[in-house]
Amino acid sequence: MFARVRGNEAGREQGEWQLSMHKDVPESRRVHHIMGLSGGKDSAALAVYLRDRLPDVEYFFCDTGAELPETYEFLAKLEAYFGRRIHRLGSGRDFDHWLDLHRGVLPSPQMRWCTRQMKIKTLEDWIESAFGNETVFSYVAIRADEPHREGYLSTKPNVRVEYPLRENGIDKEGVMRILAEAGVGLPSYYKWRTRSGCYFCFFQRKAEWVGLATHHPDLFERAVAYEKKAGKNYADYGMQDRVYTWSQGETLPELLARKDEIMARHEVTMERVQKRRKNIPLIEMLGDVLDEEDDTAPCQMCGL
Amino acid sequence: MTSYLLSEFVSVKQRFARSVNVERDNLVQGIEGYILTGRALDVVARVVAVLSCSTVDRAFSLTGPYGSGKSSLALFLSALFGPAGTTRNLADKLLATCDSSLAEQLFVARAKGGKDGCQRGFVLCTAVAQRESVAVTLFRALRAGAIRYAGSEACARKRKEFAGLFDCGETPAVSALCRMVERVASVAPVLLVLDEFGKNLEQFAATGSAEDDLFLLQEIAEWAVLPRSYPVLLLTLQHLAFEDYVAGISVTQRREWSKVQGRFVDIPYVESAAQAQTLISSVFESKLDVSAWAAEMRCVADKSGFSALLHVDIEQLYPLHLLTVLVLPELCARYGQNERTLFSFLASSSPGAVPTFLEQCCLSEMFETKTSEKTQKKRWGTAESEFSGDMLPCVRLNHVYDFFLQANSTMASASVSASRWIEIETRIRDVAGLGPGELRVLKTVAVLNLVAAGGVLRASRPMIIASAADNEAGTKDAAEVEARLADLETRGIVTYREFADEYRIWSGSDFDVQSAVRLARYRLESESVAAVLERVRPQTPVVAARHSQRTGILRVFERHYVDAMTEVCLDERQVYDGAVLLCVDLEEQVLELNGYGNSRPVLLATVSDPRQITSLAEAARDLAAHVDVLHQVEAVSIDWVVIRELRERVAAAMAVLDVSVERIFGFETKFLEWQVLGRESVQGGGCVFRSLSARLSDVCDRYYFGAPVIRNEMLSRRKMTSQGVRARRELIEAMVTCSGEPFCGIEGYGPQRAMYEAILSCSGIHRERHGEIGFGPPVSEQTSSLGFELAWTVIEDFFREAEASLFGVDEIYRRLLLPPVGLREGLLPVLFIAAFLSYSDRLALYENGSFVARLELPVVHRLLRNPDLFSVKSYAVSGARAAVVRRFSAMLQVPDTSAKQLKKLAKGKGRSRVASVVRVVGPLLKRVQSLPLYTQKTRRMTQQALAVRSALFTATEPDELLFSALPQAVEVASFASRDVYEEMEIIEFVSRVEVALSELESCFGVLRNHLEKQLGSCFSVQDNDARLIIADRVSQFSDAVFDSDITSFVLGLTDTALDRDEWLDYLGMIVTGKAPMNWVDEDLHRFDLRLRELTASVRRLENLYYERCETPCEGFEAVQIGFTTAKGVDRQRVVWVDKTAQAGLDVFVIEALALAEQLLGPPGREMLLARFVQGVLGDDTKLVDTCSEGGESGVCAGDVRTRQRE
Repeated sequence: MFARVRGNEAGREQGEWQLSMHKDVPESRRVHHIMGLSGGKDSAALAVYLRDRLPDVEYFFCDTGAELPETYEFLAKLEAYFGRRIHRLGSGRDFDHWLDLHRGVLPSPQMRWCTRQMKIKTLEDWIESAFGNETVFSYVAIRADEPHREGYLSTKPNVRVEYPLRENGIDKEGVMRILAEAGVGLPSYYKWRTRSGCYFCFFQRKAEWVGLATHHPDLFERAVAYEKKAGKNYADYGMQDRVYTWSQGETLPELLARKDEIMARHEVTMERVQKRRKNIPLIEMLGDVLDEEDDTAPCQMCGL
Repeated sequence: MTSYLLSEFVSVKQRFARSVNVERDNLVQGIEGYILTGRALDVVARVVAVLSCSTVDRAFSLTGPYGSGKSSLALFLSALFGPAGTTRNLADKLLATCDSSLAEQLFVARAKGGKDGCQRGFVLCTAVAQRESVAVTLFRALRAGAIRYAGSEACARKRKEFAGLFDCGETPAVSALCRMVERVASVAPVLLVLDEFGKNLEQFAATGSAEDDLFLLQEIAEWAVLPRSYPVLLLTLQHLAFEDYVAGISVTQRREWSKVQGRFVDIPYVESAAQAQTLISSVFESKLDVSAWAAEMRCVADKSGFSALLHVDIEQLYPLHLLTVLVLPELCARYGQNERTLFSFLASSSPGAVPTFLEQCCLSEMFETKTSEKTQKKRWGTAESEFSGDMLPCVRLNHVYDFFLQANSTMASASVSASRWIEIETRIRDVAGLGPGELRVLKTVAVLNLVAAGGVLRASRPMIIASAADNEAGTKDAAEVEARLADLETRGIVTYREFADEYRIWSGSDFDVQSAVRLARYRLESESVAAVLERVRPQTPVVAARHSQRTGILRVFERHYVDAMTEVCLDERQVYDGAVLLCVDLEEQVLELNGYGNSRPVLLATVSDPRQITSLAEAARDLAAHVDVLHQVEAVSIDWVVIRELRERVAAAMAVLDVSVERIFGFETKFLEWQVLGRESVQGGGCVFRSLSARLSDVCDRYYFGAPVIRNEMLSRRKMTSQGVRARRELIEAMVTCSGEPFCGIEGYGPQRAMYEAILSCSGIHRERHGEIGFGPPVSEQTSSLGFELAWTVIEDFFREAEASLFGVDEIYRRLLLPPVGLREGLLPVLFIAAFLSYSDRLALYENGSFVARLELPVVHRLLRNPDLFSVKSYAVSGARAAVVRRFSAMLQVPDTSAKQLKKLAKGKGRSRVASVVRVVGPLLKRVQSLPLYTQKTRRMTQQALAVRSALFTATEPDELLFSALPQAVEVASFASRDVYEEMEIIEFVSRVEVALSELESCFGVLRNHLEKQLGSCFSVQDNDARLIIADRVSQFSDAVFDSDITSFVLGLTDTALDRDEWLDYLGMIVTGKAPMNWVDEDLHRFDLRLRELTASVRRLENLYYERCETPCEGFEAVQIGFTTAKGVDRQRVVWVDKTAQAGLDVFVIEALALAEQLLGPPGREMLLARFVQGVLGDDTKLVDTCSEGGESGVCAGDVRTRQRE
């Protein structure tokens, strides 16, 4: 079923990756392969990895309309690599659409309609409409060196989830190599942020908010505007006493006012982590540092 | 060994009647038991003084609480002034024993009535008032007095002075009554006693109509003063001061009242503590020697510090405990009916009363023997402890508690301090598992709590011990009582309040409910009645049942109270279909309806009877006062007892108010007038309706005549269910996506199908017209009785208005909600979208003010959710603009309904509007929307294409884009405001736009071509198969690559999975790190530079490879050429020479070399070589350009550092 195995990249070293799981599917029935891109490095690497191993993988990206420009750029690069367009799911139903339908109530960890509407439901709807009840293999980018997790498991019985990176022992290093060799590289937001997703994701760490303000002042302003407007909407819909803030406990302007404090703390942690582990790539360290500063669980679905 | 009952030694001295009736009771019996208390003496003294002096006021009003002995006093007075005989003697004797000087004065006063008068006494007119007018009571009193004076009714009738009383019917006129009194007073002095006078006053306050009463009272009071032959003495007995009875009446009436009361001398009838104790001490007589008991008690009192409160001899008090004596008057006053309760406790045979106690209590045998000997000192007198020993049994506080609990619990609830009573009672009742001793202590505390008002008399430790240490099991002595008390405290039943030095059972505060309510009521006076009613008892909405049933739309009217002081605030939002206003004001008023009345029917009900309004206002204020206090108490959660009591009171007040409201506004009561306000003001006179609902249905029929019949409950609901909303969304999705299919493509029989049938199918809005299924106007009234026509017309009118400017969708919703259509919210989007689709070719939808090119589902969802963000504009074009639109339609190949209309127009049948701006602009924008980012940004195209692109991307209005922006971009005159045109002009315009569009669409392809050419030239391959050749060449040594940049480039070059365009995009991305789709013009330059660097590296690798490699390709000869210039340029390249081409090239080379030598001599050959190399390997730009333009490939031979491989 392979198209062909290309030069000196991970796949060859790891040995031929067998599609063993396909054996129990009757020949006569059509099977589909889908793979979701999040805009992050792991999913990108898996996509690169799959391109020449599986024909006709349908790549998709749940577009919230509120991604970082870097993400769109990165996707375009991936598209150039695949030579086919990535399905943009949820077209016409971007974040603002759903915000309208929720009467201006912004999502929050307590009321996380964003993931539900824009990622999960969108994906389920797409599977339903594109493949009906035919068997669908969904490839999820969980690395071999990641703690065990499952990612999003569809409720549909015809969807089977596969973890090629984990099964083939591809770790962070492997991911980096795959991306470099494909000429795709890392998304450029990795300089200041470790996760993909909406620019105003409420799971962002404080230092990442500061990063947003530094790298995309316009987007930061837009997030501030959302926050302000949500305050008004809360008042309109009977939540007068509550103030909506993207980041826990403070409004964005307040957070930005503490910019130096946050970044100073960030630097300190950065140094500490560096001392603890020698010779690690900056990218890895940033993740560790941010995790240490704030261990808010990231949005799993968005990060996949 | 006989035991004796205590009752054998102690008995109740006199007969104490529970209550006295001044009309009925036998005088002798009443006087016998009468105890002339201090205040009674006072009253007698005043009466006597008045009689002896002719000028002072002779009208008295005696005010005192229930059971304080007012009626008994009245009886006593009757005896004193009655005819001579045993009764009078008895009374005289009683008076003389108490106050001999007063008795003498009385004798003198009596003598003034003459000898006959002295013998026969006064005319004693006594009557007990009922709820009747004063005149009636007075008349009855006069008759009774006359009969009594004369001896019998027959005798009375014979006397001419009294005759008038018996032949003037039952209710004489006021003036006649005055004359009667005059006549009676001419016979003898008159004593007029009106008991329960309060009832007259209540009647007066309640009816508010008996102005005569007021006058009569005034008259009577004045007669009493007038000097005449015999004095008239008026005595009224009541519980409250006059004013308190009439609290509810108007200010002017109240002023009159105070005048009346001014003419009466008010005597408060309240007993002092000493008087009360004297009274109590006179009840019992004891055969026992109680001196030792008394000494003991005195000791206790001194020790506990309440001896100062005692005003009588302790011995006389037996069998009551001292504390019982102290507590009783207070307890009776607070929770009972004063003396009446007091005497029923002391003397009645009810369970728990003192006589019962006496009968049940046994004296011990030892004690009995000692008393019978009457010689020895009692043993208990020498006991070790003061509180232990064989104390004589006495009535203690726990007995008091038992009595009050059993006999008086009903009374307690009516009293001022009821909350405390309720709480204590509940606590004691609910607590389980207490021993008898503990219970006794607890009850002692309870009684002390009930009367506690600070001071000595409170539930302090000494007090409790003093009362509870009773020599019985568990509470034998002080120590045991303290132990019980400690137990109770540990169990949390009583708490010790340090600040008050007091044990308490109730935890709540001493909240005075009544005064709080009174205060609240006082505050409410300034609030208008309507406002109060609206606040505390708003009226529920009413349904116009018949109309609702017929149309399928539930019509509900809100109901409000109005008066002149209150602003009518009707809900402007579309919640109700109309309003019913209940006027609680008498004055004519102008209602400010703020446009509400113009849009929806408003019914006004006015009341003609002022008295009804007054009583309603009273009931409303009463309820409001209670509700206010309750809220106030609940807010600070003062205590649960008060809250419970208030809740009960609120419920009661609410019931009273409801009755009052029903009596007045209950439908079609006789004093109610109806009126329809607003658009067509109609007097509701003529018709009679069975109910308010019927009246409202009639109004609805007139107002909502344009309402369609909705045969779908889900859509006509006031607030849709979530299932309903879902079904409606699915229906609307089907309408938008499958409007051309039968049933809009709905499969099955879900709720959306029901909606479809009820609204779209039955009405004929969605059906086949001229062979095509689609949306359109509903069928006319004759064939369908659903009546959707008016609603449709309203929408059409709206679309017509929207030609001028944007109109909000919510505006059309508002119109449909109002009469005469009056739709429900649920239906609005369905009808609107049906109409929108039927006119879609000329309607443009705007979201937040920006044009929506296509009605896609997400847009529809947002429209359903937030219609106020959407607006509509209608486009009708003609003349030049129509022609433009037509040409564009043809160019864009819009599948055109207007094509049919075009034909119709040609035949002169169709409407003037032929084509649609919206149907053209949509596809036009769609074409450019999908262009890659590069095309949207690059400047590498013609000016016209740039202008067209800018026009398309910046346009906000469809017509502006089509008729001015695009013509300007392609340099054609604007079509915005002219009708003169030539067809050629338009053809030119459209074709120029078409050209520009093509250029835009091909722009990215041009970029790819450029990439390909660059690649070819860098690898010196100019061939259709350049990609294959390059891949083939590079794949030879791709394994030898280690540099990561180069690796990805090499992998990209050798990729075979992608087609040409994809491959070029990929390489573009690898070279620049950015996808060509997203490139800007600078990226193109970057690509060129970077590509050259990368190719150079690859070619060096290639060289290395060939140094190692034997035969790279068959049929080719590899030649490596290198050159270095003085500027430091160093180039190396392996050149592949096709052997088949060698012969042909040789001819040319020999010729060129010969020519060079001929021109420049022998060095010419080498110079030619240098120039060749420079030209081919790209150092000299002039040569490079000519070279490549000339289509010469870089395949040439050189002998500088040439190595032959073969």
